[in-house]
Amino acid sequence: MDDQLDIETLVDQHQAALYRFALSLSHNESDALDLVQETFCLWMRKGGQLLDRGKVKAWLFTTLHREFLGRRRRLVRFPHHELTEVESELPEIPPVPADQADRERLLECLARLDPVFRAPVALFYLEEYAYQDIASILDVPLGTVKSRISRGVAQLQEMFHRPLEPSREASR
Amino acid sequence: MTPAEARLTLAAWRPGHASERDPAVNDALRLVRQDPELRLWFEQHARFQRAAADTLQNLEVPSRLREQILARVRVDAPRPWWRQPVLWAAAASVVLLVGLSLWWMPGDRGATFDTFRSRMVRTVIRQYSMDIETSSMAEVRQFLARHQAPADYTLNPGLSRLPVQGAGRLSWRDRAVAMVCLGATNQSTHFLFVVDRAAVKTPPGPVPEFAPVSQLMTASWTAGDHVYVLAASTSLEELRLLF
Repeated sequence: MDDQLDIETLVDQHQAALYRFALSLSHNESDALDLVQETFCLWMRKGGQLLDRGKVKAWLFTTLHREFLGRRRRLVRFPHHELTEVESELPEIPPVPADQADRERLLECLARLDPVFRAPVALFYLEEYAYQDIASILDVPLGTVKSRISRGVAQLQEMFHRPLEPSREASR
Repeated sequence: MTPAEARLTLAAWRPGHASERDPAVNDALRLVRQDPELRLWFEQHARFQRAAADTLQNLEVPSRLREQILARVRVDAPRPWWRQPVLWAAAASVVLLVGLSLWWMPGDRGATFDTFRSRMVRTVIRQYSMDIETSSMAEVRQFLARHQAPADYTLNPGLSRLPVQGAGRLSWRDRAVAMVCLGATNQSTHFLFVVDRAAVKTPPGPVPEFAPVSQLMTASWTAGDHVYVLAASTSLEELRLLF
């Protein structure tokens, strides 16, 4: 019974944040739901190994992110495009999402963001985590997190700034 | 620091986030105050950051997310060892195997619809208990869904008018069976059993088929992915009135 109470409390506390993170990563409601469910299932199987109960939330986010990456790897091996000059990717005048359509567009841009940048940028906006926390969740050095957030935000703004690619629009 | 470097530094800056104050950010912000062009860029950038954060932090969460998570967790999660001691499991397995072989093995008739119907009727005649007592059909459905029993059953107008008394989760050859208890006008209880269509061989047709089973009158039909059996201590004529 204690386990059930524990899991129900955990779900109550973290389901919304985890779902939003999952949706930011996958841009697909069904996939997001599945990722969140799987994350809590993994908690039931492995959460007992976590000694520091103060790190439950970070554990859940880390696990969800790893699960997402694992699924992506199984689906397709995506090439990593090095950014040439990040400064040039920052638009001269950053656009501002104004209405619901813009917000949808923002989500779509986030989903098209290089996966390396997507998770840190999503955590950056979603949870107001400190850089150190994001680094811990994603298991990368602090400097890498800062760099990925900067580059990711730059990519996001640039993507949001320019028209949708014809192939994307045609596929709708 | 050049304006370009300031923009790069401030790309990862969040308005009002105290923990992100570091010397580079302070230098960049100082330059913002001095450079009108950079200030214009920064104001727009800050608005973008706020809008992006607002958008992501307010993404709509499915209303049944909690139930769906818990349902999956309960199916998936291994039971703690103290809830399944080896001896208990072994003894239960032996009893189950003997019981199952007695009930189901002869002629492989065990999975037929007739056997299912008889088993359900015997269950309520001999002894039954509701796992949940409520007058709310919504609560009944939630309970059944939580316990992986069919919860998306449909009720015709006649059955929908009967007051809900509660529900139970039964089992049939490792398949969950929903038992919905409905109040009848003669103060007795009508029992509606719902199981996945794939769980029984030779399921009934879409039109209710009436038949007495033990001391109860039953109506059976198939709709969608479910097989339904309504069992009641009543006459054929009165049961027909519900359809």
